[in-house]
Amino acid sequence: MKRILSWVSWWLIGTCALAVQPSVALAAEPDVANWLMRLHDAPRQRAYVGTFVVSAGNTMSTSRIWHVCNGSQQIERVDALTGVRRSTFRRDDSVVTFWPDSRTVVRETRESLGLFPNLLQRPDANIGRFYRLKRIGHERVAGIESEVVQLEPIDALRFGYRVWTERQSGLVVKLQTLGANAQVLEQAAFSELQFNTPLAFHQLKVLMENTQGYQVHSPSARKTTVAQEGWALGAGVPGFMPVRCYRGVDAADAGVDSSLQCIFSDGLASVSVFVEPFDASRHVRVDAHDNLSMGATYLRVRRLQDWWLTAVGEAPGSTLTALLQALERKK
Amino acid sequence: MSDKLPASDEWVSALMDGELRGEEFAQAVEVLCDSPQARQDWDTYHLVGAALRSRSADLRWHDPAFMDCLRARLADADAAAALADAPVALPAVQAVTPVRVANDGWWLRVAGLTSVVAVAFGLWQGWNSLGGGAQLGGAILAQRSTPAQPVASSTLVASQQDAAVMLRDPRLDALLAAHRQHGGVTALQMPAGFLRNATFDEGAR
Repeated sequence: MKRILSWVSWWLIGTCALAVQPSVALAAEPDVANWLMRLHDAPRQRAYVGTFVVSAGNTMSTSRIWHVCNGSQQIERVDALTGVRRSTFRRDDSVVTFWPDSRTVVRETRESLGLFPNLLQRPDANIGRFYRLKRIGHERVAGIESEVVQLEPIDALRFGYRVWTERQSGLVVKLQTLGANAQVLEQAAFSELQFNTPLAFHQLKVLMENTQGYQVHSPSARKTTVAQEGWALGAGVPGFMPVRCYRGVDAADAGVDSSLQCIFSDGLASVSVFVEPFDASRHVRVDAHDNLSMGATYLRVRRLQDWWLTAVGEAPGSTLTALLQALERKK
Repeated sequence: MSDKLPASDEWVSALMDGELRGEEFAQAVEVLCDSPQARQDWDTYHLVGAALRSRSADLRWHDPAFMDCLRARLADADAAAALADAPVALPAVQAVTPVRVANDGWWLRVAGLTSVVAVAFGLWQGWNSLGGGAQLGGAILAQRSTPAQPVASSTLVASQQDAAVMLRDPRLDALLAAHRQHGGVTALQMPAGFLRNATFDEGAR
């Protein structure tokens, strides 16, 4: 009888252990996802006006921000206070940028803004697999009581993040990108923030739509895939999945309009890989061994036969190099 | 002062010369508000003063219709609108009427000569920098691919072994801008990522 009781007790312990094990694993993952969802929903709940400061490498940029929401939609205006004058308006995923000096307006739809939270709900969503959420405590930022959370990467292939969110709504008020040994590579924060301003949705909408006296450009980019363009991705980098590919991205006046841009992301970090035909007159300036960076944004290049590949993204240089090495020409 | 009320142009003249105080000052301002003729005199005196003080070729006086419209619009504006109505899309309406003055030719000649000197200085500087060849281990300092391209402000740091150099290249800046534009596909994108990208100084267009 003793032996039977002993066997039953061990069986019960084992069963409980098996039952507990998956629930622990499941509990960790939704925590990151839930926290991110709250962060994403916050701008839909609160209107605010503030001054935003971004510090990356040796540069510091400032902007003035007006944000209004009406429950389902949100609209905001970002006036750059540093460098060339420009005002960027965003209404959900529609973005209009005014360049007053050149009397130019760029009107575009940024699908990337609408991708989240769908990105979290994909079967291959793996933010919880590659980052651990750690609550740090409380701090005041721009006069706002905020919670501090750290997203720690599980390996050296991605950066960490420290995020300050307003306690009531979860709005991000400060964000740091952390390199090895928690070194701050880049930070963005409100230096001043006021909630519940009397701005009305339609006031910003009228300003956003008033392009009179401006020349309006609408850059066109054709969606494509890595395979359609004759490329294949080998082993790649754990966690980084192809998200979007564009052909004909009209980014600026420096000859990238015909290049292929493929975006890879692990959910938090993103890397763009640009593919162009090799041109000796333009592409020899940067060497494959150059370690180029600006704040948390790194850049790596690779020449592959008649092609010139450039990886740009908020990830360590070794990750960019691995992504470039994983691309193979098929056609 | 005589018992007879001065004409409106005398009020305006005295006001401009700073001769009025107290009651007389208040009366002059009242005249200015009530009389279109007085306001025109006010504009004319300012225009004459500006013409005497400067040799500008582009002196203008106010368009009364525009000023009336502006006053009406200002009266309607509320505090909230003032927060958001820093001029972004200025309508292509000229607010002033141009008046040409006699020293046009002189000004144009000076402007032309100044431009020639500026271009010559620029060419001389450009020639010197080309000769200098600011190249360091494959990285190029202050490289500009086309003269028309404005200076982009993104500065990449190129670390090669133990050395670190600053690298500015319009083409790399364009790639950075394209990445910020289309590559921000992260869970932290909204709202901090978008604000970060919109705040970044991307140089001129």
